Amino acid sequence: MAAATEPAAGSAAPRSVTEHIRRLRGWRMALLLVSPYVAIQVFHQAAPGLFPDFLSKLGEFRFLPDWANEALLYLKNEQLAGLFNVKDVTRAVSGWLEYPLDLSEQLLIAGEGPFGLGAVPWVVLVGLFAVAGAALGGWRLATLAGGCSLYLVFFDIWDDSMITLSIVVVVAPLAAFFGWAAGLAAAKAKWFEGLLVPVLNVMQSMPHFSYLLPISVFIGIGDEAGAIATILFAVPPMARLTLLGLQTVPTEVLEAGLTSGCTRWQMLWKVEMPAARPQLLVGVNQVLMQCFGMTVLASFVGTRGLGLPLLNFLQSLRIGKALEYGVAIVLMAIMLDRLSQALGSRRPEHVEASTSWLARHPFWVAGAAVAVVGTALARVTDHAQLLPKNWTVSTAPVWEWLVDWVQLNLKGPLGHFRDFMILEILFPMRDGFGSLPWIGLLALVAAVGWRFGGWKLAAIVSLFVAYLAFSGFWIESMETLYLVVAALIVSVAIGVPIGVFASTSARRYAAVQVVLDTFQVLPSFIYLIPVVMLFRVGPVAALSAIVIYATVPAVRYTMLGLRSVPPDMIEAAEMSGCTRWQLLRKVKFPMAFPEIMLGMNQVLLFGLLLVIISAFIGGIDGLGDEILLARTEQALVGEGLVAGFNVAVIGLTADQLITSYARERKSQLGIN
Amino acid sequence: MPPDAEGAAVSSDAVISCRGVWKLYGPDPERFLERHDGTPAIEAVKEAGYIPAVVDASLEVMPGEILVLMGLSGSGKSTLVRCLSRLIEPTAGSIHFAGIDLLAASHRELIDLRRHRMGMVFQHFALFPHRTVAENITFPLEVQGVDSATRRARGEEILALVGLEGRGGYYPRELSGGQQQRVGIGRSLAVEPDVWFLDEPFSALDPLIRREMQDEFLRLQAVLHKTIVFITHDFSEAIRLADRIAILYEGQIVQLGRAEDLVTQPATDYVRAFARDVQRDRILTARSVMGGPAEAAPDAATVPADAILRDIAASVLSAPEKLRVVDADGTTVGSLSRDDVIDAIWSTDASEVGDAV
Ligand SMILES: Nc1ncnc2c1ncn2[C@@H]1O[C@H](COP(=O)(O)OP(=O)(O)OP(=O)(O)O)[C@@H](O)[C@H]1O
Ligand SMILES: [Mg+2]
Repeated sequence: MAAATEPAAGSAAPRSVTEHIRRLRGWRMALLLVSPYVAIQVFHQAAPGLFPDFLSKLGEFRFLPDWANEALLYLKNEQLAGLFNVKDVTRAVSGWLEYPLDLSEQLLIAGEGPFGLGAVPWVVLVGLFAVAGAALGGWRLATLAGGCSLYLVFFDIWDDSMITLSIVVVVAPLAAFFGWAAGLAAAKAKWFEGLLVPVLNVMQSMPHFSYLLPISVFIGIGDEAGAIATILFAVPPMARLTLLGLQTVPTEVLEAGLTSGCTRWQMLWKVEMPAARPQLLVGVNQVLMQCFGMTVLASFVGTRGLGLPLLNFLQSLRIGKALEYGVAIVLMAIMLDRLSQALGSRRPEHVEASTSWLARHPFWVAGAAVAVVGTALARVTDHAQLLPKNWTVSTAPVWEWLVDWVQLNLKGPLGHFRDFMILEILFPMRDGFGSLPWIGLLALVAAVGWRFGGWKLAAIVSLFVAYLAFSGFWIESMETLYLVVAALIVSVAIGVPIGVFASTSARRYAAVQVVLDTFQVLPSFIYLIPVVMLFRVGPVAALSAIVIYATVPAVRYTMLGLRSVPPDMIEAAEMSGCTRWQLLRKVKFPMAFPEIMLGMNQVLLFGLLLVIISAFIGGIDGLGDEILLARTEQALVGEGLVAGFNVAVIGLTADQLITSYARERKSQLGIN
Repeated sequence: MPPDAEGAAVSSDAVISCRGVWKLYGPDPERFLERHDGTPAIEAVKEAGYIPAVVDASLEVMPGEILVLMGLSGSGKSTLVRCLSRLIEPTAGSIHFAGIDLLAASHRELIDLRRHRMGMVFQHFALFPHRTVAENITFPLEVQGVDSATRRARGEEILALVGLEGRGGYYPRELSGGQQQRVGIGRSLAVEPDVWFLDEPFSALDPLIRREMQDEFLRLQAVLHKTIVFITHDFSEAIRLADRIAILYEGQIVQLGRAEDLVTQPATDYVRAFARDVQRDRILTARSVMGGPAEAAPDAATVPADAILRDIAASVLSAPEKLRVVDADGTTVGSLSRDDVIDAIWSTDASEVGDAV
């Protein structure tokens, strides 16, 4: 596009102009790529009268949200193709879900209902968690699982956590199954893969609310709505990992199956599925964690469990109670994650043929023993069935005191910091983004797209930006983007140095890895608690939440990039007499740079998801606000959906550009 | 050579016989071959952007024979063998397996053939990580629906055969590389196949283990008498094991013959280069290096014509005069001098050696 014509003058290129441009590197290339944008900006600023208005702002287009609203109304009220009504279908699905949801809730906590089953006593459940921990990961995991569940019991969060668990145990298997089936179909039929992968890309960059909103339109508010949204939300990672697992079965192993005379069916079940098992189990772990996080977040559409009280406490600023629930969510997330991960990393080992059945299955025996003893105990004393309230404890007062103390003593400095950030940095930045002519941004992404992916990519990303301009939410999109970009800058400024530091020794690397893994599994909702505690409302609170959440990938990818520099290259540099700083700057960093860029991509995607959630704390405008409005106002759901789709489009634009850059740079550097 | 008319040249006793087999990788290889009447020049193939993995390959494998395929990396050995077992669909050509037209066989027939007549050992072992050693070995029986008691018994037999007694309950990753490849060999033997394909089975092993596995392989073959197609890119391995050797270069079979023929009459410089480092005294026979019969005195001492030089070197080198070379019924067929032997073993230009034959 613009970039192709710009520098033609002056350069007496021996090759074609495009070839010449493609050979530019480093800052020259960057300069060239931003030049069309700068030209437009300069024109825009210098001669505002001459600059056509429609290239800068597109007025109040509202046709997309209106269409979305009408489409929703239509789906809700009319028969589709004269056959069925979408609302009836979703109602039916939610009806089917009701039975398993009721059943699991009765078993885990409620104890009565149409099935007439008693609830399992807490002593048995805690014991079973511990035994499962022991079976999967030895005494450490047993302590972790037992300890976490005891916290839930003694801090009087048992009921809510078991309600959440009762939803998760129903939706996670369903999501895993659908994802598996989709992945399998894609692995077997090329055309379906071509269809599925782009859909997964879009699904995975949509914010959580894009799932919750439409579902609540059709089903209303409650557990079933949350359950359905959660299933949809958790399908993509499983589908992806199933596809990956099946596609990466070594050819030789497949051939070994074929030469053994397997039929197609035997190939699938005896060779391919078992060989893809590691990826499938990673998928199960991800499904479980996505389901847990989404179930908590689904409290926004009235789903019960751990999320709903947390939401209320946050809204009424009862930070102490909110913190206690936050800790409960963290502990439960860690417990579920570690248990399912241990399941995935288990490797079979041979057993002596002489050992007895009992000795070969110690954990089944232990589990049965726990169940029997626990149930008997519950018969003897009610305390073992349900811990009485006066036995439970609460640390909420301590936290409240701490929050008060912080507010009292740090109010000055915190307030100053907040005001400074808002007035001196964030607002000017917001205004800058707000005054961006859309054609300028389009020129920028088109130039970058053309450079790294040719005309095709340039066309795709231009289309994305044009969509944003015409969506009716250009300003809101920019208001969201500015906050994410601000967070990106801070996250990279914090994350990259941490990543560099962590890569300096194997011990540090491992330690930081554990911290990152833990942060990664926490439901995004959690990140709001500390920032609300410190900053109450507004953009600084949102920014801090995003930064905490999005620094994780910044650190992770920096570590990954630095670690993957070939050791002999480092040795060669050391033998050339590099100092440590030179080594970092001249060898390691350039090699790791594509990976760090991929990290930035993740930071951006993470940031986009959290910026929407943090709209909940109030005081910031943008797409998140639109989406949140739609939650309470049925007539605004169309607006909410379009806004959610805008988030996905912003994410996809960045993703397309950054991944094609990283791909090209990696192949230049000869990294796989 | 041009591909023969359907089955015309299939000699009745060959176990595998393939004619004019092509395998090209690229956008539309069938059409490309058609456009060139089935025999494009190799340059034309590359020009058009196709990868010539197998080019017009024809060969026959006789019952009980060990045929070794050799060639540099990327010369098409694996592709050819996978065509012979139809793991890969050839672009053109005909393949007969035990008289059956393999390329016309249905999916069901193919499964039957693989279940009962073929076994294959893979370069990287290709064991199933989620199955124990015994379960790996009896896997081909399991998919046939053989009952578990029979399977267990057969499993024990094979474990003993490949020297893994007592390891049946282990998982592949609990074994060393050499042991893992024994499992691979065991699995390929579970159904007692007639034909055994081995794709560089020992190249992932270190030299000592490799040597040991070659001995093991020869011991097994002495017991089992399979028909074998064996891939290697190690010439000394080929010489130890082969009855005949086929040398592949860029997908073409450039020469097919006994090791001795390759050394004494290399068809191209490529073959010559392969044969250069070989220990000639282990391959060459008296017959292949002898001079005319008239040159030896009628009463000179004798050596058998088919003796390998290494075995007769001591007597030839210590003899003062030329020896008589005699064939099985005692007729003098040639003469052998000290110089003949020395030239044959230390000559760098193999073509000189064969002149006398
Ligand atoms: N699926 C494929 N697609 C494209 N090209 C292929 C494919 N499989 C093999 N080739 C090419 O065909 C040629 C022959 O490959 P093949 O694996 O048969 O070689 P090889 O002789 O077995 O080599 P090695 O000793 O490395 O195993 C190579 O150039 C390879 O790159
Ligand atoms: Mg090969």
